[in-house]
Amino acid sequence: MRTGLFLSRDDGTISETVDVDALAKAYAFLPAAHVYDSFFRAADQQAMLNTVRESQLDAVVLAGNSPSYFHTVLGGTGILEALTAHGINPNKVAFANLKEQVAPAQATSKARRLIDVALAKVEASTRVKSHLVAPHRSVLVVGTTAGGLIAAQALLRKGYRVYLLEPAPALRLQPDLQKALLPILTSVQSNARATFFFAAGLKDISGFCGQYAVVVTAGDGEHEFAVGGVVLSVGNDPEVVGTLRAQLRLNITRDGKLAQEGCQPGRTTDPGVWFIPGGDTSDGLAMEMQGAATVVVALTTMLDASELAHPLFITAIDETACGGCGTCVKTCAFAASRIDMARKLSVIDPARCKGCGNCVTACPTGARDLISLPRDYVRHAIQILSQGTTGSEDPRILALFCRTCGQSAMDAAGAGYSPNVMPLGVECGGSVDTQYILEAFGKGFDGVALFACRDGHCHNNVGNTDMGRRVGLFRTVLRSRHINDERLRVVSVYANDGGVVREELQSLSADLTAMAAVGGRR
Amino acid sequence: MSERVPIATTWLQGCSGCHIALLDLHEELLEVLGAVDIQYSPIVDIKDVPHVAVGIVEGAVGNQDNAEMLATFRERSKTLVAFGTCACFGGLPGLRNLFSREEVLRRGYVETESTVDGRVPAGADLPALAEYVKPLNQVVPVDYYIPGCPPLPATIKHALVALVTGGTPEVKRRNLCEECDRTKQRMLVASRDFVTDAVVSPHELDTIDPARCFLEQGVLCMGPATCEGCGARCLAGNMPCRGCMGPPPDALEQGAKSINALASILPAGGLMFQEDVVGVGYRYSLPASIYPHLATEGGGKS
Repeated sequence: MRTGLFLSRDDGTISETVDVDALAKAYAFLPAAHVYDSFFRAADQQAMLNTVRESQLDAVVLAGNSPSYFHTVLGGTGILEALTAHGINPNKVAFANLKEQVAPAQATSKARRLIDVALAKVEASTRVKSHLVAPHRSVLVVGTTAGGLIAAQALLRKGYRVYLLEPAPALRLQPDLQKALLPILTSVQSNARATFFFAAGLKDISGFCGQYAVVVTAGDGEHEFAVGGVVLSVGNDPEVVGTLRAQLRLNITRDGKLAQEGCQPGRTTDPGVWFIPGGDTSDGLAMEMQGAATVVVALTTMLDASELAHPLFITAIDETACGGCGTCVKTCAFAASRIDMARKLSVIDPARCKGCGNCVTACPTGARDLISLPRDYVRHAIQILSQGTTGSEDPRILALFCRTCGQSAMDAAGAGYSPNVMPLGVECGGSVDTQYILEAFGKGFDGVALFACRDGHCHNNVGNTDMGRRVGLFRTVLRSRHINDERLRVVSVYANDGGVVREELQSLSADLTAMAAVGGRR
Repeated sequence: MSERVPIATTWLQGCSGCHIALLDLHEELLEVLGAVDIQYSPIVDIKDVPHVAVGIVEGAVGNQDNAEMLATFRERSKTLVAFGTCACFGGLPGLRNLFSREEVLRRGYVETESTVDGRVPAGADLPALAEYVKPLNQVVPVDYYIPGCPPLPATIKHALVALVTGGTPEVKRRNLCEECDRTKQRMLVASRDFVTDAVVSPHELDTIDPARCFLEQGVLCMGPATCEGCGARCLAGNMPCRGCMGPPPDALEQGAKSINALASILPAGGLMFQEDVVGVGYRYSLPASIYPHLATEGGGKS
């Protein structure tokens, strides 16, 4: 494999603490190791792509900004898409977050370790396969609010079929708006390509952008149909939002509202699922009209394509190690696992698997693995992070954080904690294998901190619950080895809880120092 | 005689049960003896360990004598086989790794209830007790593993015949559920509720359904976290698996993996009520754990 290392000065914010040029020299053994002013400017991106071509790279490590920045900031995804277009498999791109995770003290030596971890990631990862989808030109609109109806009308005008699902028994549209929006309502109601379901519920949804299988329950029974995308326009009804959050893996804010992903209004983490912002302010109607128009343009721009590629970041099964015990079936929150009794083997439904890793943790034979972050990589990463010294005498802490709230909170914390805190991203609280915790202590870490979502916020619904259950039982294991189980700290965070992360890491560090003063690991 | 492949066997810290299992081949032992020549063994009377094609070692390494014998076997055997669970994973004697050597000796020679004026034996002629019990592969390189407490006689025969005929013994990678015939119902239903309301010990059940998965009856069974290869004999005898075959090779260890798995199958409160998560999860494989013994003073500062 030919891996290139791209380092960013981030226009000075990184290069003022990290000697990126020295790092480029240190990694000169790679086919390419170059420094750029920014990952997000056209000239730099062009230079990066030229390097990919000239050095015939098939894997890239981006050492600079947080991975969230690439995925959520407008323009950030541009470079990832361009790399894919230049033949870099999406699973062969890894990030070393030098901007948020490297403290001024010992910055360059810590940066080296984070880069080594990223190199280990591309080394251990297989190429992810993509599923090609011919997008359905139909959309499920949830909520008959003003925004929902306006979006429905716009979609119908573009020739889309529209299914309108309303949890309430009648239109959600406020009475005073019904008159103002009568022409729109009439045009939707009289369009043969529009179907209304009242007093209806979303029973099941599986698949991905361009191709979702939907089961709706309404008064007269169940209705199954396929849609290419989903538009939510349910206002801020907490019950409705809560149900949809769990079904569609939506991010919500700490006050329970749908959270926007990145800079595009109405975008969620699922590219096929959008929500119409606004509706809770005095000029709600204008906001909703604007929001509906924006969302329809964004969604139909995708669905109008003749083909969409969906990388299958799911769970892999080694059939030679699976005994068909059913643990994965009981663990999965998405009903993506079943046992093929004829062969006594576990089978994955790629349309349901979210690649959260909960079953990988649970699988007692090790037959399962995550395509995005393989087990061997995580173990190798723990080993890399345990090695060497940053020069600081502080206790050494491994900080594992989930991809959703944990990563955002770690980013928000900056590097306001000891340089001996070694951060390592995992998919989800559910993918924290207690074996990793033992490995960390076995490799010499003094403490382990786990940062995952709060209840009701986990992207995978049960990842934090299962992590809590496992860790609760696992503490006995630590105590049996005379390892004080307070060396393991579990912290639930909101996405912007940077302060909480700093305080918890500082207090864990202080507690570990106090334990060391009392003697050893006890 | 010269066509027979020379082998040697020994037992270290173990119970000799694996050697008894070898004898349990009964008349089939004659077939094996037609292919192998046991040149050194506790069951033959020869003093020096010769150079052999296959060295078979039962038991874990628990003292200085064990370590020296193992080193000799490694040096003089072309192929070294870890024979039985103690040799592969440390086994039951490995549970002493939860105590310091001094605690173990004091308990054994001084504090036992029947002891009067006990003292810890010492002397240059006594092999020193090791700080911790280790499986063979933590001391010397091991070529093949035959787990089991004890291994099935048929497995022993298969492995021996394979080794002396230039083949390789079959490596099992699945869990015991593969070999267990009990039916599962709730374990196969894709819903997040536990398969049972409470966790009970087998003796607390009025009747144990001999055809149904133990987990679904609320009995903690180590089968999912235990390697196949024993033929699920305990299950056929209506008792749950205790994990003697050790972890499947792709799992790193048995205890933590069983916790990971059981956390979404059985109610955690019930599981903790067993009050012996360690004794359940690590009964046979503590020395092969990722963290195989007590934390050392000042550990983590290396």
